[in-house]
Amino acid sequence: MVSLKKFSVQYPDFRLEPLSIEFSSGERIALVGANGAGKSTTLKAIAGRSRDYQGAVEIGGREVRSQLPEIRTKIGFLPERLLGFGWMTVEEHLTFLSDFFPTWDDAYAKELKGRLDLPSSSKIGTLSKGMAVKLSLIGAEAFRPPILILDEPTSGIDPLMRGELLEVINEAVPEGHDRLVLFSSHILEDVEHIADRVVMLRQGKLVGDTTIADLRAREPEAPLSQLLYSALASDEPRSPA
Amino acid sequence: MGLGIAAAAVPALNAVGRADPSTLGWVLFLATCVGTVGVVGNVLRDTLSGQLEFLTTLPVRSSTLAGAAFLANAAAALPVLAAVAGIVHWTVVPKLGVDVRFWWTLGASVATWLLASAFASLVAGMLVRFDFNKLSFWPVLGMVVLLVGGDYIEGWISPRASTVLDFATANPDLAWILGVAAFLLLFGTILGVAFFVACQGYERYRPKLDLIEW
Repeated sequence: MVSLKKFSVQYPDFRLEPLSIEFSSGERIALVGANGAGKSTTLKAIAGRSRDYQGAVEIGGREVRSQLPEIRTKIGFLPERLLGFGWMTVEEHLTFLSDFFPTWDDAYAKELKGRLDLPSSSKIGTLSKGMAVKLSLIGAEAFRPPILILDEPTSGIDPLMRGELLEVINEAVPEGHDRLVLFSSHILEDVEHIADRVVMLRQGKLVGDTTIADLRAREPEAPLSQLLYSALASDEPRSPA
Repeated sequence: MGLGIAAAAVPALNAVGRADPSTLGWVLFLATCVGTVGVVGNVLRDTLSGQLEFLTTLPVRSSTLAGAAFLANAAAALPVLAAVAGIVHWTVVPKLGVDVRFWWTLGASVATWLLASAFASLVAGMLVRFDFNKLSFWPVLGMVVLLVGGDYIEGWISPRASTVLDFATANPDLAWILGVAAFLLLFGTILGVAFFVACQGYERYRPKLDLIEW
């Protein structure tokens, strides 16, 4: 469904080494790595939010850049910071977004809003970090896109809200669904809640690509976060089982 | 906004008997500068607050965004209509001593409003498309040229403007056609360039934060 072919990025102080990898429908994939590993850069390119890269990012066999802007109606994207007009209320923001996505489901958006306990009349410019992430999640999910991309969804929010968010994401895209979920995180505990495959990046290089089942099979007794940490720190490359 | 200030300034100058063409020119020039600074401020605010990033991530074509930006600029420049109508009707017309009908005043107002909107769109489009640091050189250069060569430019424009006005007074029918044609050419050029530049900007827009959000 999504293919990265020799995908690489060059910034003044950062280089993402050529990356070739494929993601299929039905997978829930975590991109993990420290800050500056290249997670957000990769996700933004797949989401059609960045054009400055070498190589190819293909969705359905066609380069993403050649499918813009229409492809954005097929990709839900939760950015690291909430994007929108600060003077709009939560309700107005969602109504505004609904005009751009043909498959937007008002009832589902309302259900998510209630589930996440988001106040309709609050101005989005005044929302806390946690509330802003919740609103971004609704904006990304309410049209049930075939590809859902979440960039650091739980970064910088309190544990209670984090648990709430992970639960909603799990309910929205349960195991065995037919959509592709890609999310980045440097909180390794989050990975086992959502992902069934982990792609590890370190300083712009792919250092591992494995399934959660494979990781668990290697050391069934060890906590998953510890296994992930060891895999990230190790120089030995890991491939899917 | 700039012409709104001009609207307030011109009757005031007129009241104290100083609304000669030169003073009027300087007021309009300063008002345009203020308007330009307003546009620059708005674009920078949109960039820093993430509003521009938000718009460029929606599933809409860059031409739609450029068109919407022009409409927004036109709405913001609406006070220009009233401002120019006031300037033309109560200040310029009596000074020039020509008998101008109401719809001439209205036409001049609408034309100036549209030109101001197109100019604001051009400035906004350039800010989105090009790096602000590189752009800031050009207004500075323009100011220097105007300050150094202001008298020469005024000396060059004034006689030609008088010739055009004389011709317009003597040939009202032909002047009307030429005026409309000149306006359409000027408006079309500014708007065309603004639209093209803005489309390029929205296509390539890359938030500065991307450089640190790896």
